[in-house]
Amino acid sequence: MQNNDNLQGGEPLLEVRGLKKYFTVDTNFFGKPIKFLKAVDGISFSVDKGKTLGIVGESGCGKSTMGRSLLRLYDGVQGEIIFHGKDINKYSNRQFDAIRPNLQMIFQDPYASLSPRLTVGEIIGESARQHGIVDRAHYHEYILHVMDMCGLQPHYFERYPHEFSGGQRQRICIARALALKPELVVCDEPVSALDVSIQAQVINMLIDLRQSLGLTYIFISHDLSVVKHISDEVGVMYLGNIVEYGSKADIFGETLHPYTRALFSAVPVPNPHVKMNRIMLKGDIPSPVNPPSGCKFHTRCEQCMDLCREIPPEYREVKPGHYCACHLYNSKEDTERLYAEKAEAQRLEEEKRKAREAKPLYKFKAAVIDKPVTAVKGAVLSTIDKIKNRKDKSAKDDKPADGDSGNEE
Amino acid sequence: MSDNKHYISRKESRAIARQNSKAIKHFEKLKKRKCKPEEYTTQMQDDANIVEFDDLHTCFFSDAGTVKAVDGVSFSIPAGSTVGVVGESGCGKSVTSLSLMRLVQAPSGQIVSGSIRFKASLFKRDAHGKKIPVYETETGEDGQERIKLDKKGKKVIKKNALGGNVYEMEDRVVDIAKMPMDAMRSIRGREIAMIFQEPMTSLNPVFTIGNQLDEVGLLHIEGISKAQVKAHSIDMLRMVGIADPEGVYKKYPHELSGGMRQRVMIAIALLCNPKLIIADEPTTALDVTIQAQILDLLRDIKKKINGSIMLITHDLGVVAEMADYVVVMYAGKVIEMGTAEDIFDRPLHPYTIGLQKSKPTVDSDVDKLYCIPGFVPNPIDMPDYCYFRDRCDKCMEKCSGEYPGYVQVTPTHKVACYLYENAKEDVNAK
Amino acid sequence: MEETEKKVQAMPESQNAGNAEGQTGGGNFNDNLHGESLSDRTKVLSPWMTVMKRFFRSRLSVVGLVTIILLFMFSFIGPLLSPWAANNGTVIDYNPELIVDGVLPQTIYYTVGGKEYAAMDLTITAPDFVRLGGISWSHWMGTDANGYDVLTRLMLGGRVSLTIGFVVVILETIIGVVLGGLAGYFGKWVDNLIMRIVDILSCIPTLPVMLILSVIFTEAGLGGSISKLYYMMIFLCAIGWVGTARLVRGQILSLREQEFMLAAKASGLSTTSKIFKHLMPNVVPQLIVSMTLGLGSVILMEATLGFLSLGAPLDTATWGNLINLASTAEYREYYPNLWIGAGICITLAILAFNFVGDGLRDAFDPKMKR
Repeated sequence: MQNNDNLQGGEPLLEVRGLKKYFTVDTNFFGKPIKFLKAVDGISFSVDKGKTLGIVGESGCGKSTMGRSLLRLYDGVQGEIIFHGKDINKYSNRQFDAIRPNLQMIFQDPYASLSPRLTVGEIIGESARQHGIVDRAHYHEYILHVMDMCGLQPHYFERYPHEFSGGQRQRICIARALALKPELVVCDEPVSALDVSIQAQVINMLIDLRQSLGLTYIFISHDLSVVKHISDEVGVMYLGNIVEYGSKADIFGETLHPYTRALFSAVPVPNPHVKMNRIMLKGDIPSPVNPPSGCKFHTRCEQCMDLCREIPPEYREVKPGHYCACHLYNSKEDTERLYAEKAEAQRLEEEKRKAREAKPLYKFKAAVIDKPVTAVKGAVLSTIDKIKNRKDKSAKDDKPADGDSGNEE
Repeated sequence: MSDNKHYISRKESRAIARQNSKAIKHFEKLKKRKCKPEEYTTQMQDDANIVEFDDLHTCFFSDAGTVKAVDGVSFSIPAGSTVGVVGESGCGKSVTSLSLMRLVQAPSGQIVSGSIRFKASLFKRDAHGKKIPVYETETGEDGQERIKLDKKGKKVIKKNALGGNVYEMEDRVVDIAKMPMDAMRSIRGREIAMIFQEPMTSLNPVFTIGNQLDEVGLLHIEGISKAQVKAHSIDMLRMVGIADPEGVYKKYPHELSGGMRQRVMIAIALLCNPKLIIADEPTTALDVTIQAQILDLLRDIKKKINGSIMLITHDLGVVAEMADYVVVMYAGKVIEMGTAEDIFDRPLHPYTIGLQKSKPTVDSDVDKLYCIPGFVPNPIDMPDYCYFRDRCDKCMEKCSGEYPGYVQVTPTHKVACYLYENAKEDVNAK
Repeated sequence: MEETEKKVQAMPESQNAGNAEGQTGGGNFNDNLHGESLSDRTKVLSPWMTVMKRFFRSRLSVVGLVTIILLFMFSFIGPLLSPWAANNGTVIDYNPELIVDGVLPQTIYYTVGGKEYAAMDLTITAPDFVRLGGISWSHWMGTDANGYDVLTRLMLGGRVSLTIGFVVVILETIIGVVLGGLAGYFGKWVDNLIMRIVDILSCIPTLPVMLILSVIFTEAGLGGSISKLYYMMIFLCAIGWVGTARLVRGQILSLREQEFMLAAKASGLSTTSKIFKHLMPNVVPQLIVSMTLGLGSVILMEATLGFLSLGAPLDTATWGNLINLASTAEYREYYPNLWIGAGICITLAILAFNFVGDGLRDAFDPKMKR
């Protein structure tokens, strides 16, 4: 992938290539999936050690699914997840469980993500004990140390989560993740359920911990200002794809994609004098079950061109280290090439269709009619069988493995 | 490691329960009493206001003790303006608005004291408590005006533009906090409408959008026919910027996206042409791009219906964008209020200042966020000193004294903090 | 930026202010974000207290609880105070003076295998007021046709009925939790298999099968012993767990989707820990409720069996057997004291268990919080 060129300073901690997670929306009678929700539809990025990658997007853009897919919390994740140079997506469950402490997650809702009937100490320490992070003798001490690190008082150890406010609960969640001494922490909207003043506390704490423990974050949020504050690199997601990716300065300084621009301008500014020139997006986010053709953003885009409706844009490096998937930045050759590719694909499709139409399912032969009644009956039955076989076969031909349409031609 | 002090003892708990049941009984009785309208008619302090909260106390009698969710709140909503109420969760901003609607969750939640004055236009009633209709008049052959009669000889009631009956109205200032529940019903929905936070759950999933709109219309506009109500509903859907109102009219809530549902909620709120719309976190559940659309719509609507909006939110950005006046609440009290410029250009209370600085913005670039230490207190058995004292970085000796009163810094700007007690002139000079 | 620095300087002060209140637990604690503040001075209800409070708020559940306690005392302590209890409630042996018309026993002595045995043909005729006696000071609820003291029988019957109720419900719950838990947690074919078994078992019509079983057990020579009733109850367990299993499975399916289970998965916890520490404690409240409600229905089932003379042998005192007397027209009309007590006890027990069950459900349900 192109991302490799972007890497500076050695091996990235985590590299993701072509990550896909499709949810089955509908199956046919026999349980074969026929309709998919493409929550994450081919995402590639990499994170260096000690850095923070911010992922921004609106609800339903697949950012949370992506975070969970990275930790293999879902089955059936496709693509490569390369952690410390090894593709952990190929690991067996047992192998993966062994490295799980290295990859931790902080969830969005501090009210739902804590087991209501376990004490704080148990919530934080349980997995650390199980993974052998700390031995029995130092267990208590260690948990108190972690709690202290996250700003929790020692006498909270025996209390239950429901006794705490949202901010404190989120600290418990963070302590739970950190007790495993992780290298990479996926923060899935860790502050969006919290009050403003508590948000600042938690963000500051996350930044402090990143420095003191050398953590790497993937910070998922819908809040641009928070992402800007904490991230080194930012990816903007829309309907399962990253539409723009680059360093913080690039994304916020020289915004390329129209969606990113609209997203930025929609954020209300706490200043009554600034009546900003809004880019008002039309309509709602389309359903990821039926994403629009071509560029998925074209239905709401102000700068939509004919090309956008037909051909999905390529995700590529527009400026050094700054990636964008938008036709606005096509050179003339790019556009021509895309049209040519599309025409080629259409031609192949057409050929295939013609080929299919050319072989009729079955032609009755006149000779059959002359035979006695029983023979005719037998012939009809065998014909039906043949047609059935043919149908099955052609059905199989129509649906090759995903993404490789037209391979067998 | 055990902290028994943290938990309520059995004895305390029994005392609380006794107290609660006594209080709840008392207030429930008040709610159900029958009384004459004169009992709750009052006068506005300032005639330009549409709502005046005056020392409102709303409490929740919970098992852990009495929660003073709203603890002496006073502010007013001028006619035709947007007032933003800002604060963090649990500061009592929602309870304030629910008190105005008399929708505080009973029986544990009760308005304890204070008043909410509202300039209502109520139906005039005759001696039997019936509405007095206005009849259609016609000019007879003799040039005299007389009441028009229909074929059966009955008087024809005048119809308004929507097709509803016209009744004689009177403008009267009522004290909502003292109103009995059955009188409250004529104000809810018709005079004050509310938009809730969760567009996903505030619509009934088994009825079509049209059904739910029509129901409100039929309930509040007397004498309107079904066809007229449908036309009106579709008009409202068009007004809130729904491109295909006839189509949406027939749809079920689950077929619409969050933004669309919030538009429908606004349409329902607008049906009866209310004087005041309470928007309780109308955009919190929505995405930023949709939020921008809805805020735009609300601004538009306010101009069109010439009403007032009470906007409750935790997002300073939203308030800055929408509000003319801002009320900042903390732990059940108003700590600062003023015009939007006052609050955002010259914030005075350390909490307001901290709140504004602790939110990172897209434009600014800081290394470390300012943060207010500690947590929002749970307003049970509050001590009598400034509730923000323990989190305040400008805390003085005086702050341990009794709760600070309001300092009127400028004619529009009030703050409850000892810092400004003597500095009134200073701030003015600035 | 200036403000940030200022804040850092100002910080120790505010922390001192917090400590000065004397609320802080740990003195060595040096996170200035957390001076013990207003938020910590508020006392909260402990989890156990919360449940208790909500339970005792409803009067009916208190009435239910008191009734249950009284019934237990009645059944388990009552017989100790009754002079008739020692011999299954029979009054005859212990009151020889009441025997007016006794026939002296004719004894036959015989020897089997070198040992001598005595066979006695004892006919004791008690006067009518003893056999079907009315209410008197010594027999508060009278005596029945066999010369049993009804009140004592009622107490002894309570022992059997309540014990059976508890044993059956506990067994049912254990089977239900294990199988329902397996189905809910593992899903896929495990779920399919167990749930199909559940479907099949819930097709079995309980009463007709009980009828047949009763006949079979009687033929197998269990007719006269109480163990027949136990076998019947085992059968009841064998098909009664399906309700619990469904409940547990449903609960686990919904809990499995909760974010805290996802969090448990993300921390790489073992399956045992996930099931027993994270899932099960959250099912327990519902289980307690269903057990309490189940108790009532088991007692009712026992009564039904007794009424149909399918349960324990008739001379064993159970509430069901006592109410069986009402099936005789004569007793029903002229001797209500024989069966009305059992009827009241059964009704009280079932109502009480249902009240308590409902009360517990409200107490455990977080949505009822106020």
